[in-house]
Amino acid sequence: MVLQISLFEYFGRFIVTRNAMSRFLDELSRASDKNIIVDFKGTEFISRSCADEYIRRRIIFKKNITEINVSPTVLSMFKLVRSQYKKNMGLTA
Amino acid sequence: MISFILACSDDPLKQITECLDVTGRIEKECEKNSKITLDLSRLEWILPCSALILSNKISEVAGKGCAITFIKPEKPQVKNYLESVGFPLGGVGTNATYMPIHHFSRKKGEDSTKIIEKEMEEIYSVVEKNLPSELSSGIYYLLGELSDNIDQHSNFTIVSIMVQYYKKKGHIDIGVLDNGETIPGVFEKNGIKFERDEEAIKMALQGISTKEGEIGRGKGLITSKRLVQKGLNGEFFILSRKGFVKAVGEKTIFNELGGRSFKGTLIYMRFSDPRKGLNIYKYVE
Repeated sequence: MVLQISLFEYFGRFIVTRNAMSRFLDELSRASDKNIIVDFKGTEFISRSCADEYIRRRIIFKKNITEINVSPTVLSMFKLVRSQYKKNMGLTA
Repeated sequence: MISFILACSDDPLKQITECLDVTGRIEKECEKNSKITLDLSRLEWILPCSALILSNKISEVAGKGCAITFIKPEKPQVKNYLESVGFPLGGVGTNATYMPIHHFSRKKGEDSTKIIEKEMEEIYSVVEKNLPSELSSGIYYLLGELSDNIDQHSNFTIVSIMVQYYKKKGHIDIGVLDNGETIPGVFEKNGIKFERDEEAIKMALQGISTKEGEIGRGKGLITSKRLVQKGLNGEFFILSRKGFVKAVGEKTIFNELGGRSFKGTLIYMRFSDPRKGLNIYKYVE
């Protein structure tokens, strides 16, 4: 089964705190579905801390996650965090 | 009656130290009496950071049940300015270029994350509506990182935020203040050693974090400072307990607050409108 979840419905247009993202991912990890689609439609801004939490947790997540409808602004923040990871750890996120 | 007069100076440190003397008196008076009169009649000049510090304290003592009455500034410009920024208990954001002072509070035991997420949605919406769109990515970044720091570390009861855009002068002032545990206080609590409070702030700016060991943590303050100082050619100030940091141009100066102590952390930023927009990612890596 595939679970599709809308970040806009969960957070609204802006995602700010690391803790909020962490709680969201905790909920996803408890879902019975092995495949998850995270829909970024309507997400206009994600803070660096949130993006960092998402990427950090995604690397070790035990389910398959696919992101859709990621806006250029949000994508830029993810790219920034990924580049910080690569710089610090040599990881491919 | 407490008289509130500040030096006619654009130097935040000078105004802040004077402001702290007054907020200290307000606190003491609140402990003794429930009624305080604050006389602003002779106030001739006030910087946004001072308005934010004073309004945060007023909001805090009002929450403790102390009633404060005001004698308004005689000077029309000062009176109008304070009214327009929603001094002291916060505004509604109708002005075209302001995100007026916005306070939000948290009772002991309440979930700070939920409160911050809700309040920031409102603040971002006002910034989006009232300020030029080319500024929004920088402002969102700064407010996002600083409010996440508050959520992670502060244990606040009141947070006060303001964003002002001076269209004619072409500059932006942002202040983010919380009355929580302070940078030196959080370091002490976590066994991180330092000698002076400004040294604790310096360590925070070097990436030393209570969450050390987790890559990606402890970068909010450093990247915010770099974005303002390098990307926006602006000024970045940090006031936390007895420490004060001023970063302008290539210089970052670490000072003590001259025997005073601030019960919280204030990040205050001033920078010019980048006009053609700004690629924030160049500066926050």
